[in-house]
Amino acid sequence: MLTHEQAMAIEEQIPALRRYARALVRNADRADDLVQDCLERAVSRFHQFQPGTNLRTWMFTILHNVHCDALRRQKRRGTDVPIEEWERRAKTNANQPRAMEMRDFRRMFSKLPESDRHILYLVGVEGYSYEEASEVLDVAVGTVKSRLFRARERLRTLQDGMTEPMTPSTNWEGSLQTASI
Amino acid sequence: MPICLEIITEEDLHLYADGRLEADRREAVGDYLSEDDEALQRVEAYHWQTAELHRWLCPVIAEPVPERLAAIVRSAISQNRSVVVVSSEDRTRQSLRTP
Repeated sequence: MLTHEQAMAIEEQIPALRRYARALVRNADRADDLVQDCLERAVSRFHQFQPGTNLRTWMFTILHNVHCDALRRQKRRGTDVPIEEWERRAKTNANQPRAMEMRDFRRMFSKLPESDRHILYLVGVEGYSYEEASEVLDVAVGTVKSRLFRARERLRTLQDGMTEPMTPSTNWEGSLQTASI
Repeated sequence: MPICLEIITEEDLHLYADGRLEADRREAVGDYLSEDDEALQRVEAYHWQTAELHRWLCPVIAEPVPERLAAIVRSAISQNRSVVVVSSEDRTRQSLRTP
């Protein structure tokens, strides 16, 4: 159970949680489902929150964990996309040369491995330091750096792929759906 | 003429793209980038990536919070407050009875 003040403090974090979730899950309703799971966990485990520490970081940690748990469940069901596939996707889902639009960026971003999206969001959008990001992701600061640097290079490779003419091939998302049936 | 060799790291390029370097370090990386086109292209790409992320995601903050999300938090608010009122009334009643 929460006090009124605690509930208010958690509620204030919802817009930021929704923004984080949107970076991880393309469909807005499903992103809110992730936020819902995160809030339920945060409320039930609020006694574990250390007063005086950063509430947003604590809640981001929960959202990150909830998302990883969901992906693990998905993996058991056989709908997971292996990390090694990102490069192949970049090549097979290529587009004709055209101006980069926002939906192109979103599509490109969604092709990245999960861990890349987390780190790019936390450092890029949330403005987190490498230390803060290491707290949320529960990895060493050195790992945060190497992941960030690698993620940006991957995104740059995808970006280059979007602006170069390539042979249209299989639609990745279509084949993914087929595989999950 | 003094020769000043600054070692520019991978991390410097990322911090530069994010605008997180102190002035003197920023200047050193800026000098380096003016000599290295490949590194400059990388820094520009990183900067662009972050700008696009902001352009895409920052409007989400201004969206109204769906009721189903706010309800989870509100429904967890403890009703202890009314319990406190009752118990303090009990104490008052008890103290009135006490001579």
